[in-house]
Amino acid sequence: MNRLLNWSPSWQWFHRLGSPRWFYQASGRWLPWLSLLALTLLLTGLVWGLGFAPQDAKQGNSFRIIYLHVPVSFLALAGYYIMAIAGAIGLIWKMKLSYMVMKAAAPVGAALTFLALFTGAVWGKPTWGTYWVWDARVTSMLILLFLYLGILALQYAFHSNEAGNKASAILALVGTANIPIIYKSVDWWYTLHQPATIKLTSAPSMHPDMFAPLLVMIVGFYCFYTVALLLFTRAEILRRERKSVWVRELALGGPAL
Amino acid sequence: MKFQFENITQLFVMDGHGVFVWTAVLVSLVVMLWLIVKPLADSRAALKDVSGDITRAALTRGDA
Repeated sequence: MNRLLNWSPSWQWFHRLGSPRWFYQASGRWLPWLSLLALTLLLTGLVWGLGFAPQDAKQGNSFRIIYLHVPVSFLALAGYYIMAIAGAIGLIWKMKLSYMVMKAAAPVGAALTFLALFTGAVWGKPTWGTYWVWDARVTSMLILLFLYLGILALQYAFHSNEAGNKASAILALVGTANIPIIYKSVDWWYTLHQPATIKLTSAPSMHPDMFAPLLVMIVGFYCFYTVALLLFTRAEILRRERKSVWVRELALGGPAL
Repeated sequence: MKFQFENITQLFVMDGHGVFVWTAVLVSLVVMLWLIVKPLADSRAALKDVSGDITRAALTRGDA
């Protein structure tokens, strides 16, 4: 078995990445820097967006919610891909760590999807005159929240970790069909929700003075997402590997790593 | 780049939109804080469980 794993040096990183112990050790080194970066970016973006970005001509100050709503929604969707891809890697290569990442991505994604809906609702009141509409974008985001919650619940519905992992990964993969629907919902259906402000393929439909802090917030939220995902994964590693020697040494405060 | 409000009070009022904007900010911060605190508390509890198990096992063996 060992010879098989060491067969090709170019695959070593892949197997090392699959080792929960290595991941726990490495992520412990990344976390302080990532957290500092996330905190700096989010603080800068928030102060800039709330206090210094110019007012929107039509929506007035309520538009400032965009600085939370858009980045949070981005990560709610991107997080689903991360969860589904982690599940797929787990299914294909039977990688334990990959399932742990998938499991960690569910609560983080659910929390961010809830925030996307919540910030959307309090933005909707002064802009649309209502907190909630059953339109295509809002409804498909609600389905995303239920998918995340379903994957969380499915993990606990099975006695064996193995079966729970597989079922969750399959549900996550099936659920990816919802993501393009969410993206395209504002174009396909007549909806109250405004079309995308930022597209990769064209210039943003937003003044640069308003766009710059939004970009800072989006990058900041990517860093924050990574921090949260790493922390949840580490908690899951400790739970699943509690019988292993290195976790026992770590628990006793010994030289585990 | 200039500060868009006359004073700090105006920053909170935001011409009547403040209650919506600041609610969004506050709830976001609470949820984000939970995303950090929850896994840290879970990790701590997991390690405490393991060390407790080891101590108990040692006590029942009588070598503690």
